[in-house]
Amino acid sequence: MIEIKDFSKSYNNEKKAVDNISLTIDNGEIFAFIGHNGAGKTTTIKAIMGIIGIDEGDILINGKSIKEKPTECKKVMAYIPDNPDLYENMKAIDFINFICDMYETPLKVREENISKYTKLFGLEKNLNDDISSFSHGMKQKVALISALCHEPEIIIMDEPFVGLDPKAVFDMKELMKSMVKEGKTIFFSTHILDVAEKLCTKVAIIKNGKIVKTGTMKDIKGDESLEQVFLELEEK
Amino acid sequence: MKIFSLIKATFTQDMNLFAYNTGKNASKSKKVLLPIILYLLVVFSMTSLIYSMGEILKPLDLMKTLLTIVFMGSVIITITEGIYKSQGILFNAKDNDLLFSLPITKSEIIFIRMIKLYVFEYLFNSMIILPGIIVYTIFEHPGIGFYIISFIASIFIPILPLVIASIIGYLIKSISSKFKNHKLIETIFTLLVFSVVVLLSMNTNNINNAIQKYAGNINDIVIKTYYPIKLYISLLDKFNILDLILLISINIIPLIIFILVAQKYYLNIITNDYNHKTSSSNKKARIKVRKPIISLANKELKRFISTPVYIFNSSFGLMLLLVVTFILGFKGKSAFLDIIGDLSISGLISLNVLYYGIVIFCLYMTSISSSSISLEGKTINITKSLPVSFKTIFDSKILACLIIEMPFVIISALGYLIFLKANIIFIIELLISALLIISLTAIIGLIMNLKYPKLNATNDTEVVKQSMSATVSVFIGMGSVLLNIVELIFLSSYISVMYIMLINIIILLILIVVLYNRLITKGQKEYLELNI
Repeated sequence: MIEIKDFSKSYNNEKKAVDNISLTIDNGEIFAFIGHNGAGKTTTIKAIMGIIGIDEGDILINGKSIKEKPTECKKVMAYIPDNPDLYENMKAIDFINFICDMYETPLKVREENISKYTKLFGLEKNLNDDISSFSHGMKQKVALISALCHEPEIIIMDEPFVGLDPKAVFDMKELMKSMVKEGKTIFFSTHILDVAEKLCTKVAIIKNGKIVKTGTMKDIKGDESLEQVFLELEEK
Repeated sequence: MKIFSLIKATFTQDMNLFAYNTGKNASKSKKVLLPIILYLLVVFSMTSLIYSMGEILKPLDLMKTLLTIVFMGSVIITITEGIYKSQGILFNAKDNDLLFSLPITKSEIIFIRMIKLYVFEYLFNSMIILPGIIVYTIFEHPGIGFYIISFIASIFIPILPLVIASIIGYLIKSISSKFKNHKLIETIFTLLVFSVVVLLSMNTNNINNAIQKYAGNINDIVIKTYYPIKLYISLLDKFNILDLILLISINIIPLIIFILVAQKYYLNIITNDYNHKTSSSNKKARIKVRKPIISLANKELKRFISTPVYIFNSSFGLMLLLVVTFILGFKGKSAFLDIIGDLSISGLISLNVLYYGIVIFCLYMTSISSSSISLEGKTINITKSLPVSFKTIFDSKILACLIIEMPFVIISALGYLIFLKANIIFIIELLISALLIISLTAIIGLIMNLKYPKLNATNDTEVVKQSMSATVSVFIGMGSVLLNIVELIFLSSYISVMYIMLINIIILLILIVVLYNRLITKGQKEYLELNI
């Protein structure tokens, strides 16, 4: 469970990138976080992951504050950045292993999961290749595999579908659905509103650092499409 | 206009040597204050050093020799630095894709890269040339013509050495890009070329003796060795427009030829570099389990060994330590002092004091951690998202420094123990001192890197060689060496070197405790605030 409480963040004491937002993402939910470029999505995601500091408010992960107990909070989470800037000097297998080391994943678990997810994303033959040789999509797949291998309870993804091929997008969506059935929580930002509409149980729309609408997908869109709702809010 | 826009963009992006991101409330003037103070300190120290040379040369009426030495020094620095800097700036820039996608020629791209190299070298060279000109002015009170000619010379004389260094860098890159392990080959070639340059410099006595038979003094030696400096001195003696044109042409024409020739092969080298990265391997992937700190340190080591400029920049002091131990072991103290050219201290200091001083010098001048945070670039977000404390991340970086540096110290100490039959207690104290100095420099490097981060560099050379954190760390290292030398000279006539080492071990321990505490308190906050 993620609880964002009155969270605000500004950079270099300038205008607030995120201004006093509050959200609750329950266990077993797929939560879409949508907004235009520069709305504050990545800042919020980075704050949830403890990558940047919190100016005001707090973020609780399973009841624990990311400010107070960052390591404990991060242990149950996985992060997939918007741009897969991975350690380029490593081979794919080294990177996945490295992430598993950080989460202290037992050997048996990582062996099973590496095998499972590399097959799913068609990366078995590339595990010994340098990450620097990979395309954007392949890097994204490595990031996904490494994030899933340690079996996190909460998965935080920043634009997870960008750069993936159509099959990988399909597999990814199926995977997200199956993970949620297992009780895992997924919070992701996206610009692909169709995917968010079909996949998510809840949604929040952020505009200029403030949440302008949040709730269940049904409540938010009513009889309209999510795209229509989003565009109407953007025009206001 | 296009080229000016490109230069402006490059400089805005890359040349913010004096900018740092933390301390968001600091004013712009405050941000540039420390670099300016450090620059002035170096200029002041160099001026003092050159002034003492001037005091010797003035009575001999050889003040122009001083200018010759100063300009020759800048030429040597430009060549040695340029060899590996050129590899990073010319070939490993992250904005290659962007620049190649623009409607500009390859020669324009190379020109921009060369300008960038040149400006950095000019900044470094000015720390030698400026003091030289100041000291000459103090002793000789020259007219306005001297300043104009010296300014022109300072602008043009570094160009030819830069072209020579770039050609060597270019050849190393061309050859190494044909190999699968191109980065390793590149590092080996660079180290080999650099070793040749260093060995040649160390054997200048023999070369000088040979030249001295034909030339009368140092001035003649340098002038015969490097023609552009001869032109500069001739211009000072008697202004001649032809000499001026020759001085400019001799530097500019090779640059133009280099750009025209290099642009023909530029893309090939960059493409080759990329192609080797895409070779696929069918080996079965090995899955290993490691403790987080070991895995993090391993990540640091991988980053280190995959970056030739990083290895080269950091291993110079360590290689020097091995070389000096070898020379001391096989040739003895007098031969070593003969090489460094100071026999006057031969009778004043013991071999142990000398060796301890060398170890101190080599280790303080090695700063690996000062670039390690900046080199993470955008991957810092991954590192920060990991379920390990920032303290563990810092510890892993310190551990990586120890893993890289300690083997050099251990081999050297063993060599010293065996060849010179040293006291075992001295060796133990030496190893403890080394361990502490490496830890201290690693901590200082991290503190400086957090203070002056450069996460958006377009190539590794910018971080390793030109970033504020690397520069400040080197200055701190220099200061520490100076303090230790003064301490050694002062105390070694009263107490045994082993007692001095004990005192230093205590001082080092205190400093480590204080600075490590600062690192894990304020440093953790600074690390969290880093954002890219």
